[in-house]
Amino acid sequence: MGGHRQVRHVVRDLFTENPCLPKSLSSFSRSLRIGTWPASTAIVAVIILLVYACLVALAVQSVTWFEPSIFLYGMLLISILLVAAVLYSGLAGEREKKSLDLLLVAPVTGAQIVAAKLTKAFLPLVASILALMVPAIVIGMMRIVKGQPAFIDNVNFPIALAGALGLTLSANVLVAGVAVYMSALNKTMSSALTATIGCLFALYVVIAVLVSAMAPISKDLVDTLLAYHPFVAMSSLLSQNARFAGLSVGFSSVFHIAVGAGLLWASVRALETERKKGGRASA
Amino acid sequence: MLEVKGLRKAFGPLVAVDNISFTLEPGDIFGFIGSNGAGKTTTIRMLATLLEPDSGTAILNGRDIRVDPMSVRRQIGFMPDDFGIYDDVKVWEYLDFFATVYRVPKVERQSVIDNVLELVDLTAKRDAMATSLSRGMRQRLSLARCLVHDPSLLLLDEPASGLDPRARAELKELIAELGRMGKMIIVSSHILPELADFCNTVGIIERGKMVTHGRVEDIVRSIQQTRILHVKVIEGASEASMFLHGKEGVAATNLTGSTTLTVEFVGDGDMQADLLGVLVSEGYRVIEFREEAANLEDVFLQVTTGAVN
Ligand SMILES: Nc1ncnc2c1ncn2[C@@H]1O[C@H](COP(=O)(O)OP(=O)(O)OP(=O)(O)O)[C@@H](O)[C@H]1O
Ligand SMILES: [Mg+2]
Repeated sequence: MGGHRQVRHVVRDLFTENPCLPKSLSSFSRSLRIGTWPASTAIVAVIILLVYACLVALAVQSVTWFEPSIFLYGMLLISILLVAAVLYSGLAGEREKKSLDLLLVAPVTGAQIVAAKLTKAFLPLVASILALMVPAIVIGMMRIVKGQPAFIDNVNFPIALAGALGLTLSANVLVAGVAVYMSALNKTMSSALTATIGCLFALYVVIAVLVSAMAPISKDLVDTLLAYHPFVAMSSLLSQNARFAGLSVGFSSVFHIAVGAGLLWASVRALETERKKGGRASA
Repeated sequence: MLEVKGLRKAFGPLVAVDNISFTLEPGDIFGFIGSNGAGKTTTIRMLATLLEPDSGTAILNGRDIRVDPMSVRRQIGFMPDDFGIYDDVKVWEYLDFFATVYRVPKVERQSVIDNVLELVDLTAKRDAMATSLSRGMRQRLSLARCLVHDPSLLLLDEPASGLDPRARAELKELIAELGRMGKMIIVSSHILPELADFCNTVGIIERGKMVTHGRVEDIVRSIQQTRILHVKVIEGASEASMFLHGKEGVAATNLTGSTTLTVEFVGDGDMQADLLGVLVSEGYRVIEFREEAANLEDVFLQVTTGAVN
């Protein structure tokens, strides 16, 4: 009961009554105006998607091997890129434009500032999930209607969709944590961008490649070490390796949510510290 | 009321602010003067709750900046020396955002925004993009932002820097007006005369230490031991000069014309009045007896050594 009240209190503090939120939302919607980079990126993305959809339609007509998984991988990849792209600039941008001090002297908490920045990523995240989940569902259904299993590997269709969604959401908690934390630590947007890309690249590419190199030593070890990787979890989910899939998806989700939440907490702390330490570039 | 008590801040071995104390009453405009690196910004940022003091504190209307920073923040309007304005908003949206952040009730926001725009004379730019404003207008927009939540203390860190003389004069007028509205205002500058005409109290800071502070006249008096009195009589200036010579407090007299003389005088206001009294009772027809306007620049140069951190 008390916990429930506390949750309500936190939600009110950070979201429904967070005074910084409206600006985040409106500045995000403004950034979609033609002529700004998110808008141009979105236009290019839509064109690519349309071309892609035409190819898909052709493929569905002719080939039996075409199944929904490519959209689910796409959903994971694109949502990560979008969330990182929207969030890396939040705090570093305020700092670069010298407007962060004005927020820090205002009667708002560090958590409210971070929550406001996070909401900027909400719309792109939902949009990227919808844009790729819907075709995945359509294609899966079409295959089922044609009398084929939704996936070539005959994975349970609803479970695969739910698992992919869970992996995507949890991966994005970590990505948001990394981007916001790098934004909290860096003084310029460009260094925040470099740091964000660097961290994600190290986490998802460098480690994966290094670990895979150990395959000759022990295949099991590699599988275990790579279980955190959302693409590895996704591939076990979408293959018939059902037992490993449950473990891998579970582990990956918990790992991403825990690390992401930790990083968001660290970002709030960094802001609060900045408030005490003065925040100016030290001489 | 603001009571600053023994504020101190060191950055490593460098003591940027050392034991600064002063008190302000509503309506006080405090000119905070010091050379580059003297510690003005550091002091102001501590008062703004943006920098934690190593020791000492300040009490604003009964709230301690270290114990209860959140409620102090609601009562402070802070204009940093170097600030940015969001590049994607209109002037009124910018103010609306800060009114929201400072929890100005939604029903009052529009009228508050209109009022502060009127006050800083930016009503015509209400719907302009904030980035399209000139430097002086931005400075005024920033001041308007400080005012949306009707704070009792304004911290203005070099608000006039980069403004042309006309904009400067307008800004001074505006600050004086805010003082008349009963706000406490701290204005920093490294140019003392810039502040002299609208501040009623000043503090001079050098290498982190408050060299002197208090009412403008008092400071000038305490520092300028010798004041120059300009005396004009209808006739007999040279006799008057002779007569005054050797009177209490008179260090020297100088004849500057057939009807005018100057007196180098050391003493307080009472002694000054007495001197006028004897001059008049001696039968001199005095038509002018005034103290030379305090030259704050001289005072500043006199109390500071020019040493910087
Ligand atoms: N974050 C910091 N880290 C280290 N030293 C600092 C920091 N901030 C200020 N200082 C030092 O403290 C001293 C006081 O600086 P401050 O900015 O308060 O001076 P100021 O009076 O505002 O000068 P100016 O007229 O140039 O604005 C300077 O020597 C400065 O180098
Ligand atoms: Mg300064």
